[in-house]
Formats: sequence, C-alpha cells, structure tokens
Amino acid sequence: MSPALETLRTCAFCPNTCRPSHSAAARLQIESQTPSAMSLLALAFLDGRLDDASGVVQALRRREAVRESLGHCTYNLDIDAALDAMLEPADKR
Amino acid sequence: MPSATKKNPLQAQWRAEPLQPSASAALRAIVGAENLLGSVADRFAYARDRLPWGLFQLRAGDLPATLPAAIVLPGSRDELIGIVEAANRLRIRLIPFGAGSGVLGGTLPLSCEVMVDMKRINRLLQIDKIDGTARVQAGMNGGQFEAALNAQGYSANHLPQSIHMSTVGGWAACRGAGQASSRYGKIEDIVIGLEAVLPDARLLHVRPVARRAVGPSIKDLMIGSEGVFGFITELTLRIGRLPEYQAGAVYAFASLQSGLDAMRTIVQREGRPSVMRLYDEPESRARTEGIKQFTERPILGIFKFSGPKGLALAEAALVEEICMAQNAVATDDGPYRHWEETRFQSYSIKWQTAGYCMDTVEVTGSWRALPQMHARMQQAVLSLHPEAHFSAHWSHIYPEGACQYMTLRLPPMDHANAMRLHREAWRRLESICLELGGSIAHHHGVGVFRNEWLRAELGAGLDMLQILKDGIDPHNLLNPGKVGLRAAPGALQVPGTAR
Repeated sequence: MSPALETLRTCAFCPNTCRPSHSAAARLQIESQTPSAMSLLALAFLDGRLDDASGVVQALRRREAVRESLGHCTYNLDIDAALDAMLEPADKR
Repeated sequence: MPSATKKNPLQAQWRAEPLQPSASAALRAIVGAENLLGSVADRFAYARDRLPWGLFQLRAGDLPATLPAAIVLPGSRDELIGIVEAANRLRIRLIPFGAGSGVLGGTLPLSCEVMVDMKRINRLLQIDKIDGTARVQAGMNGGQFEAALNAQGYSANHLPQSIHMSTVGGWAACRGAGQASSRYGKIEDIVIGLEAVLPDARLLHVRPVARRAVGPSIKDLMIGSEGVFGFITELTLRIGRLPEYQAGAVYAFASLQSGLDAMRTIVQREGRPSVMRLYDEPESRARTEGIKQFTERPILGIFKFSGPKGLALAEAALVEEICMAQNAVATDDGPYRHWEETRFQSYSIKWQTAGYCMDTVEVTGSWRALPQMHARMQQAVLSLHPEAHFSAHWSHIYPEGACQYMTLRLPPMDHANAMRLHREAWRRLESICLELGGSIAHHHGVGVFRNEWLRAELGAGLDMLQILKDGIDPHNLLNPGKVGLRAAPGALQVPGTAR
C-alpha cells in the first residue's frame, strides 16, 4: 500500500481529533470538508463507489479545512498532500 | 489513478433516495441554497458517525446506513424552527447532527432522513461570573468552548476524551461524561438549563436555575434524548474557576480487588479527586512498562487532585492513606503524565486501519457486582476467539459503584464471521450486565446499536418513552428508530433497529 493511501485509510477512520483547528466560521465546519470525511470520500472515489456524477471531485477540491488541520493532526498526517498524491490525475479532468 | 473496479456502487434506490423537489425548495427558502447540500458525495460523508460497526461496514466497502436525503445547515434558532415547521408540513424526517463522534449509531440515517447539521449555531453567548454559568449555542465545538472559557480563567469541567471532536449540544444529547466526572459530575449535573425546538416546532425553555421541584425533570428528558424529543439549541452550564493547584499521583496495587476497594473507600469517605482511574492487568501492563513496582503489584491506579491547594493536598493525603491501607505503593508518575498528554486522543485508529474489529463498551455496576462483572465479561469475550482481546478500566467512580469501560478487539478475519463474533461479544456483555443488576450504558448512550437491550433495562419505562414520543412527534419525524423507539416504516435494518 502506498504511503498516501495508508494516510487516507488512517484518517478516514479517525474521529477528527484535529477538528478545533478549523475556525468556528460556518462553512468550514461542514462535515464533508473535514479531513476524515475527505479521506473517506477519496477512498470511495478510488474504490469506484462514488463516480464523477456524485460530485465527489468537486467535494475533494474544498481543501480549506484540510489545510487548516496541517500541524494539528495527532498523528502528524498531511491529508492535503495525500489527497494530491492519490487524486491528481482525476483533478485534471 | 481512479480504480475501474466498482465495489458496491451506490445505485440502490432504497439507499439513495434524494429529497423531493418540494421539500428541497422549502428548505432552500429557509437557509439559502448554499446551506442545503444534496450531492451524493456530501450525503455519503454524513451517512456515518463513529459507531465501530458502521466503520467495519465502510472498511468492507459497504454503507452502514442509507444515504441521508440531504443535509441542511441552519444558521439560527429561527431557521431551525422554520425547518421543523416545513418538516411537519411536508413529512420530512430529520436527524440532529453535531460532530458525529457518537459510537452507538445515534445519527445514522435509517430511512433517508435529512441531516440537520447544528455546527453553524455555534456561539458562546455569555459568561456570568457572579452565577458561575456560561450560556452557549449547541453547535459550538467542545474544545473551542472549553478554550474560550479557559481564556477567561474558567472551565466547564466537562472534559470527555472526545472534547475536540464533539459539540456542546452533542454532550447533552448523548448524556456524556467527562474525565473529571468523579469530582464535577456528568453533563446532566453540569447543564442547569437549556432551550430546545420540539418536534412540533414549539420552543421548550428550561430555566437555568440551581434546582427546581416542579414535577419530573423536563431537562432530563432532553439530556440523553439523542434527538428523538427535539433539537437542543442552547445550554446554560455550570462553570468553575481554573484550579489554582493540580498534581497527579500513581499507585501500584497487588490485586484488582484491592484497587477497587481503594476507589470505593475514597469516594465513600468523601474524597473527590478530579480524576480517579483504575486499570485491569492488561491495561496496566500497557502503561507501566519498565516501572519496577508493577512487577509485584500489577494493577495501576492514577489520581489527579485539583482546586484550592489546601483542599487538593488534603485529598492527596486521604488517597495516600487509603491506598497504603490496601498495601499499594506510590510509583513514578510517568503513567499520569502520559495520560495527561494523550487524554484527548483516540486509540482505536491503528487497529481499525489494520483490519481489526475494535470496540468499546461501558456499563455501570455496583461495587458488589463489579469484580464478578469483570471476571465473567473477560471470560465471555476471550472465549469467542483465541486471539480476542479484552481489557477494562474504571474511571467514573461513585459511592455506590463505577463505570466499567471495556475494550474489545477481534483479529482480522472474514467480514461475515467478524460481524457475527462482534455482535455476540456485545450480546454477552450486555446480558451479563443485566443479570448482575447493572446499567447497559454508562455514558455512550443508546443510539441504534443498543436498542436490543433497552427493554430489559427499562421495562415499562420504555413504553413511557414511546408514549411521550408519539405524543410530541406523532409522525415520527425526529430521529426515528433510535433510543429503543419505533423506526420509520421500511427503515434499514441494522443491528439493534427497533421495528
């Protein structure tokens, strides 16, 4: 398993211990923007369970909360980089 | 990069029914288009909470629940009232959603409900330093709430492991307990007043007063209701000054019984350390490697003393006297420091990622029952599989008994067999608990996964809850199928679903 994929699998099952790194501002606390949800969505996309029509590609571009979590992850994961590594070809569509 | 392999694609109508156009239009008119999410991707992200069984389904490429029909994000109490009015008019089923850290499936959509994400209603409204209270909106993050209080020299003293991953409203809705509960009480002791939107869209206001005698506690109908009786929108919590002094202590006990006896004696002699934790041998071993006192005395006890220095030192002296009377010895405080450093982290991730089935079960037992409860439950889980793991600790301590918090782990195996063994482990633990007179849930709540055992604990009390539910929510619109109450017609059957 690639390190990036392993990172996403770890984050997808984490309860978002990094959550307070996101500001209390409204939009940033949408569940599907949290690092764990983004990792879960990425895995579902890579697995073929969510296709382009699901809106997953657009959802995975909403990186604000993921970027804010950098440095606040208990496990020092960089989800932004892992998403880039795994999704770059899809993102260029 | 995207895989061509389709694994359980989300096609089935019963799992993915979207919101009807009339309902969509009504909700959009209330919150604005940007606060109504309807893409499959967004709905997928809200189709879970932290129920481990649900995680096992996701890991196996399946969904734990249906997709919600949509997600609506109200920005105010008035918008929420509008949503509930529309739900009644158009028969839209709703589920309140905080931060999704519940571990019993309390927010899983079972019949394509609409998730109502409360996190935009998230302000700290007032700190009253005379009354010692804080008024806060339900969607505020727990860690951010505590940090805002700390900045002014106060604490709510509700410090659950999930503090950073949960909302203040979620604490109350799930009837949670924090790590300093032995001194400061659980959330039902800390919340002194609240405001909620009932299923018929009326506003419920429980005045924030120190106590009342106006019939049964309406506040307590909401605290632990997990969204079936309404949306908690605002809470008034008791707060206290940050402690002027804090210190930890670690003791090694020769046996589990002597450790339990020490914990019991401390609280029965009116000691109230802010933290009291006792670990069984497997959990002690994992935390005491290299500390020589634990070779002969393998049971770990951790204490924390907080508050005015004189009071904290007096409590430390009482604890020392009682522990010594149980032939315990004081040790290096490394286990205390490690606990302090990691107290808000999650331990399950490495196991879940590696394919294990890990879960936690917390029950309440009396002092008389706890030794037998531990021994029988340990045997019940270990006999399920040669590589099964069972361990326990006690960290919510009362004069009459304690919470036994257990960790179970099954090794990687085929999914169907793992799910069978996992459910059987729960069945054995809850059955033993009921047989020994305990409560099947100390602070994680019921959600959907514990429905199966609620009748055995509550008896006619469950009928009272259903009658109340039918009275205030005759169309069963709010979080149907949770807390042992009737599910919606055609709801997805997950373990524990009540028909």
